[in-house]
Amino acid sequence: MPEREFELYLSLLSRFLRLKPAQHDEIADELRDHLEQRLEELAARGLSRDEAIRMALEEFGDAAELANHFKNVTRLRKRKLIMRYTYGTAAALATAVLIATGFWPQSPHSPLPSQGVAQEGSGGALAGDESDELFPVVAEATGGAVVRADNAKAQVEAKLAKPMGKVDFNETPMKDVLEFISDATELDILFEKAQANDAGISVDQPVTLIVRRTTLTAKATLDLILEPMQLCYTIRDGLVMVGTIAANNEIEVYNVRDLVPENGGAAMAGAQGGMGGGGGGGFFAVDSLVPVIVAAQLAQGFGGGGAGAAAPMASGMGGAAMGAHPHAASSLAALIATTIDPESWSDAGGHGSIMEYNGMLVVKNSQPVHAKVKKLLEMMRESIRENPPVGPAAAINGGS
Amino acid sequence: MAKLNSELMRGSLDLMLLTVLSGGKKYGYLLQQELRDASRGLIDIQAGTMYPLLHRLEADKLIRSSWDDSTGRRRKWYELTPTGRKRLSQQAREWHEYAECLKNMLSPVLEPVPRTA
Repeated sequence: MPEREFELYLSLLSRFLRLKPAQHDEIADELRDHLEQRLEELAARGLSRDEAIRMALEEFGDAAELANHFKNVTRLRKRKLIMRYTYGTAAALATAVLIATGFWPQSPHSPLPSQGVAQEGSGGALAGDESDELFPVVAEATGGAVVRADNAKAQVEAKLAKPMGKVDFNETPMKDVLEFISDATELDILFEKAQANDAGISVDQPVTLIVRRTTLTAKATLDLILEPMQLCYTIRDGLVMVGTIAANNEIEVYNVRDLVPENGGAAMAGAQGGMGGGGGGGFFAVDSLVPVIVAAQLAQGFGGGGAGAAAPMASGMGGAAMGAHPHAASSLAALIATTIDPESWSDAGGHGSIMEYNGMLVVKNSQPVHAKVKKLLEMMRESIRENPPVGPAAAINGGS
Repeated sequence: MAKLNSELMRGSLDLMLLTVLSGGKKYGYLLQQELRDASRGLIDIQAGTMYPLLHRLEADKLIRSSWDDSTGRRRKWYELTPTGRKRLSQQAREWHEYAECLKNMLSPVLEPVPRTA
């Protein structure tokens, strides 16, 4: 009785396990045997077929977690192998670090990349109670469960923000590099072979990145490795997926009402008042950083079809949008398009786009670019806080 | 699902699996059922926990596996190795002592008859 759901689950598990084909065939055969027996038993008890399948799979937990259990068996052996790659080579000094800090020279103490993120989630492991989140990734497009998906994303981001220690890859195959990062962060990293092949990159692509004097976060490490190859990572359902930048554009909406130059002070007050009075949005209006985060969540809310999250936000934004300055926002758009990965925008032949709408920036680009946009906006807000109220206008005009 | 506190069980699952296997060759599903029966339904180990554990026990050479296709269904059977058997009797003794010790220690606390929940 070949069950499509089982096969999907098992193939997902196989992908996580990264074992030799013969090994994961054995695991798959064993688990399939178990699943089929369990299904028969549950069916005999009178459960519907769908119910029985769901229950049988639930008892295994999500594929990523199960794969992790299995991997713990082999992890020690693999780690030894990678240590040979990483410590066996002598080489040049680190050059490439701190990608995001250069954008805003006016900001006297710009935060280091990722520090903000590092304080966000608890960084717990994929909890057992999130067990059904991974299976639907393959079975259908992500829908519903927006809050849980956001949670999973925040957890992944927190793990990526942890320091990795010294990085020493010298002509190390991509798959071993990703495996190393995966072990260090306890995250599952999937390499989208088909996408990467389109860009002419295989899992054996040699990677060289040696950073000895600075402790990189996993996120910075991934960015440094992937960007030169036109690859990026995206976080989806608790997984880190590595694919091409071209194939992984996402839309996010940034509320930049507080960054428009004219009537800077009034605009900011307007933004907060609008948020607070916007119906159900009261808890957003804490400080000027919050709208960005909220805007990002809104974008995810729309993407994931989360009506519950979208409704209060829409009204909050309605309030905030009043009195926006289209010109200023589009010059902010121009500023972003010229300072952050210029070649990634459609004007320069890339795949990204940026548009202003009622004091909102609607940005379509890869997650790394989104991260930089967020960082840039945060820095701008910080510099506004330090030099109110003329700061923002002067800064933006100076920058564009 | 777990009818006993899973924190309490964690350290002893290896031992339980080895114990059930000491009764002879078993495949995963059967092992799970027999463990449930042997514990009078108190211990219901999840498949997602059991299989990785079995693989680890095999990697540690405490059990070994073999495939059997004779029933028309490819099935993996597990059995104790001599090392596993030795480890089982040694750990069983340790656990027994530990349980006795804990029982004695806890008895004063348990004196005023535990309330029924």
